[in-house]
Amino acid sequence: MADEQKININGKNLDIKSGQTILQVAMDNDIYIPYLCYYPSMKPYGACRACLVEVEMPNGRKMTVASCTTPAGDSMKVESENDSVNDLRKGVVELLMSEHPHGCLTCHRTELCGPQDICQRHVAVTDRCTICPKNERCELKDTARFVELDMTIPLNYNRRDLPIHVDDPFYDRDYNLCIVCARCVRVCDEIRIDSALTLVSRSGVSLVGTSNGTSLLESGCEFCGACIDVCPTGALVERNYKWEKSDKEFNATCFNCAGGCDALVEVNKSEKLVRFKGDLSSESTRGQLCYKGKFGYDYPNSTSRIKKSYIKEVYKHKTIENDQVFSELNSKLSNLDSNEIAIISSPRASVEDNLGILNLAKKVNTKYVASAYLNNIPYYKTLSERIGYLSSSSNIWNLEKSDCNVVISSNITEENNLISLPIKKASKEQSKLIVIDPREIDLTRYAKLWLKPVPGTEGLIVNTISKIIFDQNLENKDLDSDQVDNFKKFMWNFDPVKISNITKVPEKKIYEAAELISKSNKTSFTFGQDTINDLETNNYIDSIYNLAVITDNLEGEGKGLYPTFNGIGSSSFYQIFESNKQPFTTTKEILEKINDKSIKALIIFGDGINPDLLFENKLDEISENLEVMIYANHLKNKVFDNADFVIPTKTYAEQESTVINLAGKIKNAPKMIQPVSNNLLSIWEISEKIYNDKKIDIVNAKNTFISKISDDNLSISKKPLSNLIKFSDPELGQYESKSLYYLPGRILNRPEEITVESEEDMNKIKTPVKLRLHPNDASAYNLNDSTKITLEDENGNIIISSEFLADGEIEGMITSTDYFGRMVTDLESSKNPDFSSIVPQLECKKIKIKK
Amino acid sequence: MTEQYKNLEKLANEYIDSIYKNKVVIKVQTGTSGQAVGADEIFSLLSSKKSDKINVIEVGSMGLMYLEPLIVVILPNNDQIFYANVDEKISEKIFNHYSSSNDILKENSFAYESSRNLDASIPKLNELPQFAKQLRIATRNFGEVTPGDILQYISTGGYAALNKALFEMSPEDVVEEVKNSGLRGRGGAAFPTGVKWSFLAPNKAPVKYVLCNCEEGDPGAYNDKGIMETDPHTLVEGLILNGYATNSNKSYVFIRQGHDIPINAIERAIAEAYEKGLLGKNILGSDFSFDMEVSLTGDSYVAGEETALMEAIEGKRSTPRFKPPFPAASGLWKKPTNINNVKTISYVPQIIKNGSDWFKSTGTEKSSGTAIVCLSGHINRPGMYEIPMGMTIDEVLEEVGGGSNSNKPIKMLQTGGPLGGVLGKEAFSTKIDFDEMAQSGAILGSGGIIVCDDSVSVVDLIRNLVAFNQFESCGKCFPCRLGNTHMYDVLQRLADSKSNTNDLQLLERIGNSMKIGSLCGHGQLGYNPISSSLKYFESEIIDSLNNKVEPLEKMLTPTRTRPNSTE
Repeated sequence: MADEQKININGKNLDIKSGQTILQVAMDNDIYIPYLCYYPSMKPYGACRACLVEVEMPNGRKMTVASCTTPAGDSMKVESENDSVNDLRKGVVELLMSEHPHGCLTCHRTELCGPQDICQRHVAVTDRCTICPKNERCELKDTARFVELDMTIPLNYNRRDLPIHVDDPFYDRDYNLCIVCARCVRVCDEIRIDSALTLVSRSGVSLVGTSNGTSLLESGCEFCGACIDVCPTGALVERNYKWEKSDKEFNATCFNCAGGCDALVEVNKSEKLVRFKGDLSSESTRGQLCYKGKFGYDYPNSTSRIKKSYIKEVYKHKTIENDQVFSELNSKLSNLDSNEIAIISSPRASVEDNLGILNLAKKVNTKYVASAYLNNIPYYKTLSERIGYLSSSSNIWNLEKSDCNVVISSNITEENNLISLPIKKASKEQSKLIVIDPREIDLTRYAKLWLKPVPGTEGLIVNTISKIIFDQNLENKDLDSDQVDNFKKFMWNFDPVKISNITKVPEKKIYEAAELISKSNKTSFTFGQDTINDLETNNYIDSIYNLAVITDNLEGEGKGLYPTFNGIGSSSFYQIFESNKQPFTTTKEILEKINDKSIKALIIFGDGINPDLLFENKLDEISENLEVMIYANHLKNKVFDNADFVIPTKTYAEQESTVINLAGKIKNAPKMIQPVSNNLLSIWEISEKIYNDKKIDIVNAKNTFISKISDDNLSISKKPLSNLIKFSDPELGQYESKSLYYLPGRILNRPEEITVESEEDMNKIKTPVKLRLHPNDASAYNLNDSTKITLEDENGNIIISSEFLADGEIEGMITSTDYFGRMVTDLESSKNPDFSSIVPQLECKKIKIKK
Repeated sequence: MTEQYKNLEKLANEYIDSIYKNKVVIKVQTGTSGQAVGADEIFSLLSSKKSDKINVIEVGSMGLMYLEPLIVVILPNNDQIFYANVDEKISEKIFNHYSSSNDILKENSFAYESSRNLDASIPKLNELPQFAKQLRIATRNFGEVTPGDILQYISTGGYAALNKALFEMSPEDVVEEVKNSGLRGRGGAAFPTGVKWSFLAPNKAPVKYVLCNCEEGDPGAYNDKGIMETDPHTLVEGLILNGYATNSNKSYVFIRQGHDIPINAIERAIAEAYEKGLLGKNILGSDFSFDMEVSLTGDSYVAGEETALMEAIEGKRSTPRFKPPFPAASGLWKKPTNINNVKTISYVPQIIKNGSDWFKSTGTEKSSGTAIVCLSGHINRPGMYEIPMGMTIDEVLEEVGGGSNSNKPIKMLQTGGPLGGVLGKEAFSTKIDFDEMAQSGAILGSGGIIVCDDSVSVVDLIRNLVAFNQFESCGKCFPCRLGNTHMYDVLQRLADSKSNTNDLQLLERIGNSMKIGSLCGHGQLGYNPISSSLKYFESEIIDSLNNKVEPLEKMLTPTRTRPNSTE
């Protein structure tokens, strides 16, 4: 190793970490060098030249360089501020200001000036910073003030007078304020691997835009908002709360999916959440968020918040005091037997909330308790048995180092978006991505290999891959030989020809997958349960675990298992109930029991649920079959209309709480705003009061639970994974169904097909959704191209009705692929303040065709 | 000498015999400059005519572009007669004459070449000053061979240098030879070529590239494409030598799309080299394998900047990268890369063949060899000339170029492309070599020399140059993107006689920001036209501040001045 390297910046000798540029050393040591195009976490770009410094090399040569691109070298002497470099920098910033409204940036009295003041300096109204949505929030003003611009810059000011783009979802683009630093283009390309934005034209007219000037829907924008977070000017801003200034900022957590990402949250003076921003200091997110976090956070601000308790009287709701609502509903519940009462917990429930629900379940002594989206209990059960904990085996950014990423049955770009970033990044560089999923999801665009098995047969494919690896003698040789022998016998079940018939995946593709995995030194497995039913789950997880064992990919750099979950509260619900040996069930069973009227009361904690999804559009029927329906939530919706009792709840922003995220990090989410009403209660507080009053020491209960799963209270303890191979009877017979399946898909972009028109000032995708049938299925059902067909699920519910093309790839599978952009515009125009809870799932269903 | 090369030579000699033996050969110079004045039509006319005695072949331009369409008649006794500014009618007459006679037809001839003295009424080519002053190394085959025809090239000693290098020299020897020759880059920066190669050569990376830059966007420079379209095999041979010396695997020849004549020529040359085993696996039976491909780009001047060129080959927007890392460490597709200009590479075969000392014997101490200059503008003999380094500008203008083509004296020159500089009369005694030219405030650069007589206003000239630079800025780094725009604004004010008194200071301030602040040479050199003009024409420029100049000729406004202007 070389000796410690030192660089001298402005007279201070500073340590150089390997690979650092001059600017990075300066930033590490709190030396301010202005910069506009550089952005931490992205590669240097070297365009803005605001970071120019003078350098004296060890050989005495002096030069002026951009500190963002110049590697820091031993014994360099750097001056970031002296007369000549200051003047040079000022000259560069003057140039830049000639294309950016700067009247207020060069004005000496901005500190005295209020928004209502008549401007003493006669800065043209259109050029004032006060009309910029990022007024006093932008980075450009810091640079402008640092270089101390003269009151009038010597260059002609040119206003671009470009139209502002306001017709795409979620954010506005005003390129009159753009300084062409290309941060947005680069974050989209380098970090998000989307390339929805680009630089257009050259020379003085070069600007940021979309290729051919299309809408963002056509350019393939995933609306993650990363470009907004990096923009140093007011050119890119979130449309909601566009003009709001932040009063307080919190290190918070996003509750909108199991990812539980770190975020910086801005709250304004009137206690509204006004902005979610990526947190650069977060190791788990590296400053990134997704459409759900960036734009779906603001339901606590909604005007349709429930602020009081309600009781239903004949046909309408009447407000009622909290105390009274509990005595009324408790008297109703007291007439019922224990197992006549069911409880559904929220997918956004915190650890405290789930502990409260545990308390309630114990009080009532009912076995009918469920977490709303925890439908597949064996998934959680098998995972906690095999892995030992309910989280990924390491930080998601470990996926970036894989040579091969395998993603199975999980639409991660939509559901747990952040996990897709390292996978997409790796697939652009060294990694081969294998997607095993019958649906066309966005990740398939990045895949080297896409296997489309019959839904539920994913585990068979994985086992067959293991068999091929054994057959070719490529397995990890350090395993216990008895185990391996038994496993090899078990593997006889997975003859590639036979499995290819069952799964409808061509044999060749299974071999290709086996080859990619066996050739890779570091393979990771990211998997979910989107297409797997509970009976198949055990074998499914075993198959993945075993493959990781025999290829030596359980743990280590670029390796590991990354299960995905629905809802940030699901895994803690499972762990709390399981560790307390309290029985629980699924919502599906609860709904069945309501239907046969054996359950008479239902308590729903509704935060984050989609009533249509949860109750399969049968809410009226359900409420009719119930004697008592109790609804605790913060937003009025269909369930509210049907509930007999309504209790107002606090949102994630109005209380302190604890959550456990996908990577196993235990996070304390802060209270950020005052509750919108004094009547609001936490879920755990409501649980204390329902049935009978039973207080719990929530802090103590939480600490006890956390200490069970964690050694350091920061993240759950992860014991090393064991090399144990486990398997059980594959029961291949159950997979050999002749059912027709409907497989919905959703992708970002397929520009050659997409047409976009403006409707009510909003760009909308006009391309119709088309079903695709295999020609054999079409002729079996006597269907001609372009007739309209209707697909019904097993219960007779209509899923989709559309024209079709007889060009489907696989017999028995009817596919359709929609665009992410259409979903996003639908979400934005849905007027649902909590849009992230109604993101349509891509559910594979057994169906029947109706003409 | 290897069997394979001997066979090629034999093949070439047979081929040459089949063309020349007992025949009159008419060479029509159908380069770009020739085609511009109808040489291609003359060629198709002549080749459609039938005569057992005459062979009509196409060759590239010999550089005397003002004389085109130019045809050369070679008699069976090797006497050559040059006919200038011919048209279809005259050329037909020439054809008809020689189909029946071996006597010299004097009409329209301007020179002859023979071992004997033929006729005092026509000069010998070598006695013409525009030819006598030249020393042709890189352009030695100009007007001689059919572009891309490998056997014709071999018959002139082509690929002998490659054969020598592969079997008599180690890669290190080749690098040393080029180092010793003192060859410096002809693309503009004048960096010693051998030194550049020695950065790449020791790198043990499995994949390395050598690139050839023929972007050549400078107005008034056409020598890169000239070499490529006239004698592409010189370039191919030079690049293979470059690849051998640096242990590289592949070469990309980079040229702007739409220049069909040089593109077709180099593609033909590469295809024929593959066919003859001079490219591909185990060249001439040696252990060395090397591939070559032509890479086309869209219209972008900055794509000629070495790192922007790499971006363009990678299929990206051609904007320069920052350095370090330098291409020798991380270039095309992040692999170690060497990049040279067409002219630079074209000297290499001759250096290897004849030795570095031979090359060094020409030129000045620090600028060995020759310079290939392109004369255009108010000059009597516009064309491309290869002259030894060290010749004064005056000699080039007066003796090679024949002086002003108007009755007005030459006032100034613009050299080295629009980022080069403007030179006044005081500088005409400057020797053409890299260092002296740089001292005079301009650069030799690509070798383009645009001549302006007294009728041209210096403000008009620099406004044109800055307009070009402004238009061609890639738009990445702020000083260049915005600085050029503002400099153009100020110069427009000057030209419109609406200037402010502090405009010169303002230009200097912008220029300084660009010079030190810009990412690549395009911005760094952007103030050159103005700074060099101020050196020679300060009073004229100051006069224009004081409203004394006539309103200037209307010129085209560059279309990328402002974001809201339409393209």
